[in-house]
Amino acid sequence: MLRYLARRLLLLVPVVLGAALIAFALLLLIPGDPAVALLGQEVSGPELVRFRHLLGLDRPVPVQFGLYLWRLAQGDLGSSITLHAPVLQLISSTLPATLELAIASLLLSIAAGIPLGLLAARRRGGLLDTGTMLVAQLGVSMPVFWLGVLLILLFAVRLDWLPSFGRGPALVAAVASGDAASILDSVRHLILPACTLAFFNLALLTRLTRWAVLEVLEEDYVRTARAKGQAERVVLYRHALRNAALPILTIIGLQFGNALGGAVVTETIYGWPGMGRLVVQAIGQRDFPVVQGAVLVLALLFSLVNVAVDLAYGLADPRIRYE
Amino acid sequence: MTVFLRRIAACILLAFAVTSTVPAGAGPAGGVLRIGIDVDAGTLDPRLANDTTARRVIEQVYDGLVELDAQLVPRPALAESWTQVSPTVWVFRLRRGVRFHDGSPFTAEDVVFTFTTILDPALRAPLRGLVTPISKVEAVDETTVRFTLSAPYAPLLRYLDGSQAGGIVSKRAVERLGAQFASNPVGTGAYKFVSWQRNSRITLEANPSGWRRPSLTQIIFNIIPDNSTRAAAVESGDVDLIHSPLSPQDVRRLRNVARVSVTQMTGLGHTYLNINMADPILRDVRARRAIAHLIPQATTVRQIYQEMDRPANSILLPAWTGVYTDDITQPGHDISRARALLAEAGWTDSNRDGILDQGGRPLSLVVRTHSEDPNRIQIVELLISILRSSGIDARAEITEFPALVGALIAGTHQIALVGWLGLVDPDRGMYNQFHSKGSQNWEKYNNPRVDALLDEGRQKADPAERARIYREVARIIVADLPYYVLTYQGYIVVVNRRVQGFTPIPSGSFRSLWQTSAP
Repeated sequence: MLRYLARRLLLLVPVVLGAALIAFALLLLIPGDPAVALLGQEVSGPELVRFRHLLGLDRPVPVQFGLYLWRLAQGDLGSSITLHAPVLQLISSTLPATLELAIASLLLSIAAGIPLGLLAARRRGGLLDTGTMLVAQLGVSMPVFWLGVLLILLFAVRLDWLPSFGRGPALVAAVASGDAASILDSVRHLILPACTLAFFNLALLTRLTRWAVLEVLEEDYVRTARAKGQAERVVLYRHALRNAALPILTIIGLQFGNALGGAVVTETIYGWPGMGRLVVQAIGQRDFPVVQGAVLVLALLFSLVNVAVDLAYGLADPRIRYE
Repeated sequence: MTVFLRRIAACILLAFAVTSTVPAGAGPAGGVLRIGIDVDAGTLDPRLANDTTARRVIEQVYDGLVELDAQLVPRPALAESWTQVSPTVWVFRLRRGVRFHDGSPFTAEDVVFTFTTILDPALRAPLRGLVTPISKVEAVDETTVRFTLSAPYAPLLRYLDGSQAGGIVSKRAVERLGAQFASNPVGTGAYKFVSWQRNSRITLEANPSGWRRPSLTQIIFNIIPDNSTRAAAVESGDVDLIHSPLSPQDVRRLRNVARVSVTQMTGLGHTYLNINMADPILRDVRARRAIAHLIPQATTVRQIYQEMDRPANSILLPAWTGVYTDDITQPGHDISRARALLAEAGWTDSNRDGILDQGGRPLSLVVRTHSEDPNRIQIVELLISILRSSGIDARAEITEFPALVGALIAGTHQIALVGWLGLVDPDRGMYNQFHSKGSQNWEKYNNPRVDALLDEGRQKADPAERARIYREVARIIVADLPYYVLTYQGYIVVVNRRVQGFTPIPSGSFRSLWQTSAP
């Protein structure tokens, strides 16, 4: 188990470096220049040449990438070209907000999606099943920005229950401080963006759980369990859900990645100060160091979650061995 | 299972019930103004700033030697008075007893330092071009500064405005803080910097010992990138003030919201088509005029901008009082005239494929704009469909802004829909754009008469003389059409009615915030 874990963690190095290389190559392929973004329309041709030189953008591409890797090896992610701040500082100040939103939305979608899927599977073909699947279909097909604006207009403007934008105090810090007002403020700001981000995942998870449980319910051992006279609840939880867990776990792992990447739209709608917005802004302005730094961190996070999911398989299915 | 679900439902309902008892936007009331703004600032160093948010924050934290009023007239700020000793020498007398937010005194040395560093190419100041005619800045004594110019430069005073190129920094603070100065600004302004959470908010507080006594105790700039969310935030009372850019449909809704007042005026910018005169097709003025006749100006203003912007007559902005005139007009929408002009230029459909051609070459045009502005994308799509129905093989190319500006600088474009903002002086809207040596003459326009007029405009201080000069340039531009100015950009401010004393200014400046209160 430990050897397996060590090997998986070691394998992260080439994965992350590969991601950095791809991000670097893609940025070079798209037209546009950080020097233009920095100077705006005031820029003139000769000025641009001078700027490109100052920023080192006129060096050969392999030299640029080599220099980047050399600095990276020393733990230096470089400095943002347009924001005049170190990349590490920018990422560390925005990543917690994105993680908070992604984790909250994931927990929300798990807490609602799995029970709803189970319920739909149990009442297959009934009114509840049809209703749940209808909502799930809506969730998969509704654009996030539209849902976001709709929720803001309803809960912030019409009902005046929740704030229309922004993030309150960091939830972890608020909980640690034990200050009820801070926790409340934090949660109030989190509700709408987390629900918006969770809706798609929730719908997907509900449909998947329903499908996986229905598959298992057809198995012989379920019939045997029922024939033994076991309660339906026990059949459903101990036999069906546990055996349906593998595809559900896989999807949850992927959804965490989706929540990290997909948070961009939600962050933009709600003015949530996360890393997604930082990256999109940086791509638009061709701020290479910020994009590369963010890709590295996201690739690392995503890979770590995948390792965690692989380990969780073992908990769900004791037959799985790690070597 | 059902019990479990019931518990969850009860928890969610309880959470809503608890949270709904807290009024939205609770917090320190009275002297706090909450602004909703579209982008985060890039830097808060006035010498390096190049975005609208940075300028809005900077004009609170810093002062220029002068500041422009709503009519764009320079008024005393850190300079109490000034004299033009000769056509190329200006002397400024500084306000006495002013201190920076860190307590250090403001002196002539700080003015010299600010402009010397802006002029130094190593600093990479984006607006350096506005002050390059300054050849020397000297401190005559502690409260007197002398500017020596390489040539007479009439627009200088307007460019010294604090929200243009002229916010005065503390020399001592810059030297002490180094690169940290960009995120820890130290100025003399009515409000002091408190904190900056990236992509979230910038907080300022009153500077009680400043030379101006501000009314507000605190200003919070909330960064809300989505136009509709920003509109919803002012509608729900979560913020007190928002301004352009705003979506036309949100503005229409906000006009009926009792809590807010909507003010609309013509701003200091325009949206225009940059027509590349080096292009083999567009080199011919008849082709350019034909395009101008095909542009759906009225439809654009009515349907796309929903009257937020106004149809433009010429390159002259209505805000340039004394210079603007509606006597100068561009070619109007006239499809048959456009076809006649193209035929006159030799473009006919000789092979009957529906596309005009000349010597076996089809009339192909690419119209570019940038992806960040949905209105501009719609305009380009509309224009493309009209060009196509007139026998032109037209295509749209939409890229992000840096890629578009890169193409403009390289001169690889044919027609590009772009805009200019913050044109405080006719020189700012014409010199670099139309002078053959201008840094933003992307359309490769070269007219010796226009060069001579633009040079003269920089040298003449008399307003009547300048009006004559810039009107003549505008007349030539309307005839030559290197630019087709589509709209005068509208400027819209939405303010909560509890806010008092705020005066919207066409430049988008929040200068009046020191006199504003929010009880």
